[in-house]
Amino acid sequence: MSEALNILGLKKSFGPAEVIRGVDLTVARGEVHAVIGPNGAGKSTFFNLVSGAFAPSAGQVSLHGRRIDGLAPEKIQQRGLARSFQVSNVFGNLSVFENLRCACFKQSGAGYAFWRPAGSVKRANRRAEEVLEMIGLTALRDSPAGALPYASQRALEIGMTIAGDADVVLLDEPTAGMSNTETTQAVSLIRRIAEGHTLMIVEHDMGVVFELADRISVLVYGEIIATGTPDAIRNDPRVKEAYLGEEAA
Amino acid sequence: MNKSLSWWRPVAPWAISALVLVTLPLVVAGNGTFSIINVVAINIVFALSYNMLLGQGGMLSFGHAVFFGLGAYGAIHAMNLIGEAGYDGHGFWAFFPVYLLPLVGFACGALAALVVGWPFCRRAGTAFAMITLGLGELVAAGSQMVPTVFGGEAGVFSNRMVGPVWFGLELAQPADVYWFMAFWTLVAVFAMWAFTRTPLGRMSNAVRDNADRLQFIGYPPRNLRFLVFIAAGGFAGLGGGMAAVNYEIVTPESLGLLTSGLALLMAAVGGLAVFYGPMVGAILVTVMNSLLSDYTDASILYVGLVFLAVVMFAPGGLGGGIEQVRLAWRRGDLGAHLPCWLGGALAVLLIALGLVSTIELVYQISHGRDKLARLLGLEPDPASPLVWLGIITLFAAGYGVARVSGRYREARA
Amino acid sequence: MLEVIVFSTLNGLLYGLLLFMLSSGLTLIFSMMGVLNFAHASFYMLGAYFAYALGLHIGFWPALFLAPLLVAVLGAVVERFGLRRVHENGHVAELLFTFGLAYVIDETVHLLWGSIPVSYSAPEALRAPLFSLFGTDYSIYRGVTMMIAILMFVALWFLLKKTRVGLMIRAALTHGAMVGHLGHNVPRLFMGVFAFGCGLAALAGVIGGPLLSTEPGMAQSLGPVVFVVVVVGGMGSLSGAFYASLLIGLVQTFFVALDVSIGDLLNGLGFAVDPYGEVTGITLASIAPMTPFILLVLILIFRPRGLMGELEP
Repeated sequence: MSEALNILGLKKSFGPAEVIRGVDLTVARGEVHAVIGPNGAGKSTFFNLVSGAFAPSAGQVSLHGRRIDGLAPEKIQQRGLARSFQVSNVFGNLSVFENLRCACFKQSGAGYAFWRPAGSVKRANRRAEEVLEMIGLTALRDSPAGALPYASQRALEIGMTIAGDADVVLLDEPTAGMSNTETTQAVSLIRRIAEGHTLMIVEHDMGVVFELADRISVLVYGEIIATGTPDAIRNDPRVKEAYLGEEAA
Repeated sequence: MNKSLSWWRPVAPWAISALVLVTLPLVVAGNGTFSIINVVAINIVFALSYNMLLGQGGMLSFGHAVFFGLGAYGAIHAMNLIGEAGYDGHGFWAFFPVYLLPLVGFACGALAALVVGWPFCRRAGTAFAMITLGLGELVAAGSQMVPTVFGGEAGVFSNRMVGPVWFGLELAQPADVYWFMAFWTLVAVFAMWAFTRTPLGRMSNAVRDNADRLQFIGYPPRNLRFLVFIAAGGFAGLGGGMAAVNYEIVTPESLGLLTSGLALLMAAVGGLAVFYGPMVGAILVTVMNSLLSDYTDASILYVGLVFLAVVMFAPGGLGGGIEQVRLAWRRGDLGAHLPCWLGGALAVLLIALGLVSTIELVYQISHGRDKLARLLGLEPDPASPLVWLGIITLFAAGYGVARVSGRYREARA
Repeated sequence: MLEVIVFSTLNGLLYGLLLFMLSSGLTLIFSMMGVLNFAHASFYMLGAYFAYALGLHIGFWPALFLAPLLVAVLGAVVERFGLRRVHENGHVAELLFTFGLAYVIDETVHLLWGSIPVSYSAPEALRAPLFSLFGTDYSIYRGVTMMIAILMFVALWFLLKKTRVGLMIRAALTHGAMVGHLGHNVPRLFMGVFAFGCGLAALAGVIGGPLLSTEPGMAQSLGPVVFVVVVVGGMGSLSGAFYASLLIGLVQTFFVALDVSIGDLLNGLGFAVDPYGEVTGITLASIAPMTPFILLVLILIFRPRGLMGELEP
């Protein structure tokens, strides 16, 4: 069983408009799999379907061989698939540390505990400190998340996504809107996360994609037109026509 | 900060509160004062329980009094049971002391929230506000129809001098009730504070900040809201139980929109974002309500105006203000902020004076008497242009001071 | 029986139409600005009191027109100097503001006009019967009230669907930011809508004051019902508010007219219960004031977007 994520015939329509038109995709355990495609190809919808934000109109999504399509997002997260958001989506009034710790309570077996102080949930505290260190925000530990600079907020966003011990992680445009230096830092963070996680990334920055991805899938008008190694994708004529060619022109 | 004092930090507020509670009876006297203090205690618990919903959990409720009132009804019926059991001296209630009635209130409030809460907690925001408003109106109106439980318009009476007495502590005078109130307020405040430090308390902040994100870290927001709703209902019921012992009567009014509004008022005036804010609000609003009503018929109007002013000009409430001053003091730049803050306070004072004078004068014109002015030994003549000129001067001066301190702030920034 | 049905229908429609006059303004304000104006019923009360106070000096008819105008101006002032200020702090702050405003308006009315009802009534000529049915008179004033309410619905509908302002308002409902980008002055539009909504509430007060009673509790007794109308109809839907108003008006009036207890009903359905017990002896008439809230709770549980609404609140 080496498949982390198996997607079969996934479809989604909004009214008469079919946005995802039958996607088949397999993500191997431990790989970094990038999904690219022109604007409006349905990448965000695709992520929303896999992570449970929307229920698919048809098709299956399996996580480690178990069906997860149609489940509520929290159920999917508890089974080990977590996602980040394109627009930073943190708990603005809580401190950075508290944001991370909140993302750990559930997996620490203290999800709804009201009979013990949060500080006594050893596992959540340890894990939060660990992630804090990993995303490089130790210095901003007690700042309210809403007041963080943009790049730090993006790092926190990724931190919250991985804090809950999910082994499959979906990152939605992790470097969007970042400067070059910030992007370099984000890439090295993602590379660290890739060890021990299966990653699926939607990304616009081709440099980042070709640097990080083991395999790339190209999504155009709701369909995957090609999947392969970065080299294979780079040389695929269909991809060139549909996507890279477009940029070159 | 001095390291050797670090253990003192978290303990200090509790130690000081306990000290204040113990010394209070030494400095104040008279049953009237104790009566007010007892009401303050009830309202502190009520306002804090309300803030578990609004400030901590982001749920704006207009029906919180339902749980306060049901807690009070539960406690007063239990009190009657204690009284009845006292005649033959056996059964559970014969051994239940009146001091523990707030626990009965807690159970009733939490149970009521448990029963009705689930469908309410699907959404926060306007939907939650409206459905709790509906619940409040429904329960308040429905209670009139079941007089054996709610006592009709007159309510349910009881007598707190019943049941077993521990340590010779009788609850006869308001001064005796004070110790009962002090104990339960301290317990309830500590419990609610501790709640904010638990995983559930932290998650309730998270659901307030961003319910959508919550799903993706493994929580259905509704579950969290529901648990917070039950806890808040329980503590409101505890406050209701305290009220039942204090007044020895519970009326259907305690379930209605006005009582719910009072909780909202106290919490918002005190500040929703600071834990102790609602306590400050409860003290201010209760004292204003009970003191002002002796001197003016416009007391509710004044409370409303204070509320409006806080919402408009100090959204952080009084607690938020105190926190700002404290932070500035710790940073060491209090001196730099002080002129501007004092200017603001002076402006508020001047404008408030102008407003109070206007209201009292208008009242004098329409009703022909004015208690507040007489209290101050004044005999203002509403027909005299001088009086009105004075009022206009107050407003103008207040506005001027506000402008000047605003400029000062801009100049510094 | 027929008599009861005919008069309950007429009175229910009348009450429903009054509710609609009130809720149309609230709906308009909510759908435009996202603000649930807690003080809406207070503006309605101000309308009645202003008309009463003005009527003492200038007569019923001029006051009928002037009072809503005055309240609309007051609404504009409240929006400009109050609501706009708290707008940046979010919807909860706005709701709190209007909640406090309701307090202040209600208490001011208390102070100025006392706590007993004032004698605000329709002119003699309008109190004459329009027609008699089963020996009971139906006054001209009631007929006129219905007519005004229906005219208002038609005018409002026309204004929203057929005029440029209406187009702008409808556009601002769905694409608020866009309307601003197109160069329209959104804050001024907001102020206008708020003032207009308050004016509508006042009109309902001017007309409804003589029918119900003009007293300082009138805002508090009707305010929550108006919220129910807006939620049940569907937030922001004018036609939803119209149907919900009529529904609530009719249901409440029919319940009042029914001198039947719950026990009687259950007995009629074949359950043997004591029709004079504490709970079973409750008459439907005494449940009448609760019906709107029962409806509200049911709607929010089973159909959160309301009768005609498109969005959940």
